[in-house]
Amino acid sequence: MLFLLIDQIVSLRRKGLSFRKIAMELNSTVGKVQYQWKKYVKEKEKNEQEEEKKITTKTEPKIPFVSEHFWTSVDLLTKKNGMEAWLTSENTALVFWRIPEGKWQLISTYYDIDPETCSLAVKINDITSIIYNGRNAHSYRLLPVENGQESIILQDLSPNRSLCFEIGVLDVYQSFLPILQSNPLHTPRISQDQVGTMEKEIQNWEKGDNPIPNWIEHVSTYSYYELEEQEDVKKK
Amino acid sequence: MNGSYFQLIVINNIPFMNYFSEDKNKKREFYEHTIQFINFLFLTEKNNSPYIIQLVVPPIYMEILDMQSFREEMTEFLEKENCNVELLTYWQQKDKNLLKIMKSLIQDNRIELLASPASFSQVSNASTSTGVQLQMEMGLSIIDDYIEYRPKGFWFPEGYFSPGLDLYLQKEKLTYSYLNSATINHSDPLPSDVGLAVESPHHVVFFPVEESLYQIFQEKNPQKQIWDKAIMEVLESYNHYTNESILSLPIDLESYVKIGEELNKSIRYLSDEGYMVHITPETYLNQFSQGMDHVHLCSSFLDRHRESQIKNQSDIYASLAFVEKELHQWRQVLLSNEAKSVQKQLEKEWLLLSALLYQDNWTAEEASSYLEAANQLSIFMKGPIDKEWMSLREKVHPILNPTIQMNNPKINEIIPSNKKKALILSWEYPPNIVGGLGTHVVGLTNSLIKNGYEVHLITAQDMQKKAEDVEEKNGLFVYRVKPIYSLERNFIHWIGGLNLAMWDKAIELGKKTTFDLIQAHDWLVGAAAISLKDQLNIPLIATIHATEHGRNGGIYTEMQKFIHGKERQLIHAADSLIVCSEYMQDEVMSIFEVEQSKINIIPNGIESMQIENASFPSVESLHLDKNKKIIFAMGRMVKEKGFGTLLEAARKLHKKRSDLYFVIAGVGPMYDEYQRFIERNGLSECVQLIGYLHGEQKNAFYAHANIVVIPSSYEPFGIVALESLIFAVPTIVSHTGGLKGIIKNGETGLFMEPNNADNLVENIEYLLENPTEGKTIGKNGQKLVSQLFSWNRIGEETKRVFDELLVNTKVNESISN
Repeated sequence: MLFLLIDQIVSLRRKGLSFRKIAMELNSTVGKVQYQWKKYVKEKEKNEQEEEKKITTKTEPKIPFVSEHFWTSVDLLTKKNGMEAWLTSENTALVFWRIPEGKWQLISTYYDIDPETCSLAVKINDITSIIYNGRNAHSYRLLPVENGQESIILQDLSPNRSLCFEIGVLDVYQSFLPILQSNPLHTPRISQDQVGTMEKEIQNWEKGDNPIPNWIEHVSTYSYYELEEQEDVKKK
Repeated sequence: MNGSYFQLIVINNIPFMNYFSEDKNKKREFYEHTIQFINFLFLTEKNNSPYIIQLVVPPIYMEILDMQSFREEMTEFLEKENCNVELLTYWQQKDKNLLKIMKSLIQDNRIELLASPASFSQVSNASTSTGVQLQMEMGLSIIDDYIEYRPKGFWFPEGYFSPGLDLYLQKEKLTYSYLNSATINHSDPLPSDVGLAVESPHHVVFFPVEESLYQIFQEKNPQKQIWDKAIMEVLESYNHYTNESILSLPIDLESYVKIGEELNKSIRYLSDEGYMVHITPETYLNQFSQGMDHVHLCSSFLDRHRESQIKNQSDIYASLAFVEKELHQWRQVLLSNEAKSVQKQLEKEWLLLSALLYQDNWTAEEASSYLEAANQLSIFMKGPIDKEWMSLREKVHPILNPTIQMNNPKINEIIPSNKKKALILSWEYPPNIVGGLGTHVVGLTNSLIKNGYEVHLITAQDMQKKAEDVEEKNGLFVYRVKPIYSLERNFIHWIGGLNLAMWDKAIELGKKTTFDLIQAHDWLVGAAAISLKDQLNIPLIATIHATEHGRNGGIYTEMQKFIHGKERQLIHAADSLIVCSEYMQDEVMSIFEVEQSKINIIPNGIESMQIENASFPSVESLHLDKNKKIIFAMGRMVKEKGFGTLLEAARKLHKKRSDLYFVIAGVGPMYDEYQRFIERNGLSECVQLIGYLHGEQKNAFYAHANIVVIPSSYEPFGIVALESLIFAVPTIVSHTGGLKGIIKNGETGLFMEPNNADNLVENIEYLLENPTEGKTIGKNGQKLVSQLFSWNRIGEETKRVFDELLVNTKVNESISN
């Protein structure tokens, strides 16, 4: 009697052969082929169920605890809170913001001001080639905005400068109190005499001296690390 | 070869979102555009053009091409509206499957597909890495699913690029793209020649696109004369000796169908005359990438016609960005399967809205339907999911379901503990110590964790350092934050900024942790605490260490008025208060009109020290005569600490005897004045101001002092008294404030009248003449402190107060429900 290899049966079945044809092919009987096949299917099902169990028990403790306040926090942190700047052309930017109620409450408690009537302003800071700490901008401009305004178009920006923007209130002494700060932007070079400062940076970057590029990158270097980490996960 | 290379890019700019529009005219526009696409595919198949065309097709459009409903409607449209029988036949022949045609054209090397963002939107405006990745991966996945093809090149819609986006291309193994030549001509360093491709920092090759040519082919009816002239001009500007320049011609698909024949004539002529020869991007890369310039590229723009639309409808584009930020947050957490379906639908809404907003003819109504859906999905995340709503909405756009393997960012798994969680705000904490507040908070947090609480402390970071989060001990998490203007000189503004930063941090923490209560230390963190109490819906307990009124004996200046106002706000907003002594309780009650029932008295604590650690060298450096008695005092050099009285007493004693040596430690505004007093009165031999002392040095002095004096005129508690008592040094203490409640006269210490130098002299002389009594008093003091003021005991007290607050809060909640 021929020893029926289940592998053969499986591969022939995959090709679309009927049990009868397989039996002919393997010089056996339909009954024996069917018996082997049923056994195989049953084993497979059992293994799949076990796998599923393993997966569910493995992933269950992995689901981190999501607090009741998670979604409220997400709202407060992201959907209703933040400031961003987009370059819409070489010298124009769209800057927009949202200030959450909790922050207005904080400011009006602390400074005794009314959010409806206080002086709101956008500050444009030139932060080219420096690490900005609030006081060391090369220059800045203050643009008053109306209460309740949530965006502004800035035109005639100088080329080849790094900028970052803030939205805040002006107190009685015309001092600016920042509430939110935007991502940095770099206005493009438009003439050849603006070229020359990056060569060294590019060389260092190519050599691998700097882990993070020394210029402004879109969606910040944070994303670079994220992707780096993912690479590590993939490698594992 | 003495000319330039060239490649042709045909871009299908179809307003594909029109397919989902209710507006009949828009749908018609969509079908008419599609007829042009069918035409393009037909012509490309039929004619044997001598070169491969780079084709760009919006991924979502490809999804639509696969929809059964689309195929039926398109057939209907062709039958009724279109007179071109040839196309109808072609459409039928090809099973109405344009994707299949694309696939075979690729296999036959007639076209190459370029990848593009799924929504065909400007990824330079995406706010988060999730957004960029979603656009990229979805775009590639759609091509892969339908055409089983992995493009090597990428097209940025409207040529909008920002530095850093090339990183995302690299990660997807895309090796080339296109930019406005103006950007490449101003790369840094400058490219070696005009018309060459360059390599970006993340190793993507960019081909220059001449804006002048691009504009010509964007016109409704490009004229042969005009483009012939323009192309010639560009070719002439390229250096023919290097043989590396490449002319990249992007052309809108509709235009190409119209003028394709004429354009090909021009191209044939130019090729025959040797001015240019076709090359595929990959061949170009294989040949020239070795020696390519590595440059920095700025943000780039090719087609700016959308700018005014963005400016005029900025609020809707802003809403798009905020939905994207929300998506990014959802990706940070592992979700249940149910929640995942909500997340997936939200990502779909964002992709579709992005697609809509980067078309020319969208209406606010159309946009708001996506924004409303997004809002609805947010709500589902917080509560029950309306399954009916979900399945209806999913059917509106039965697309965008390809499997994408987007990796979730590393998720920090938190195993929730059953401990109660306290959120504590304090501006002072080591290494930032100014006065007693910081030391208090150290002792407090340590004892709380020993008593089973999980403590999250938010404090200020050093100006010179970056903000950081540290788990200092098991159960104690310290978050150091900085205001946006970290070097703000104006103290009031600096504190305001600090409060905003603390607020942000607390809300971020609130994502993973449900706090049971919030504690604020003094007015400095009041604004944040008051707002957070409401935001997190938890009880607020405020510890009042000192008041401006008490410190100054009243409110006289603007600054004091401001601080007094902040103290009042915090005291009244808090559900419960902690003060360190009965004295402080009285002060708070009278100045701020507070009910006694709201106040808890918990004295400050002290760590039991190891007295053996007191080092000799710091004392030795003074070269003291062993026969001299050391009288030690320590504190901030401000008027209310009373060192003036001590110096006066020293002067009186010096007249009578020379066996005493006064050592005063501390710094502050009165330092110089005290120094002058010492010199004027010839006391330099018996009095020394030694400046600020750190922990070990301080302990050394206490260990070697014969007498310690605390001459303050205002002292809410007097933690310094505890420090000296623990060393069993007989201590003379001013009969004021919190000190009154610590010492028992004659037993555990001696009282002096505040501001009375003569009385102080009497007390000092008593101790000198009665050393045995002095020793006993010292020992008694030591016993007192270790029994009543150990942080263990204080910690238990505090826990009791916290627990009581929590119980009362729950009781009040259930009553009001």
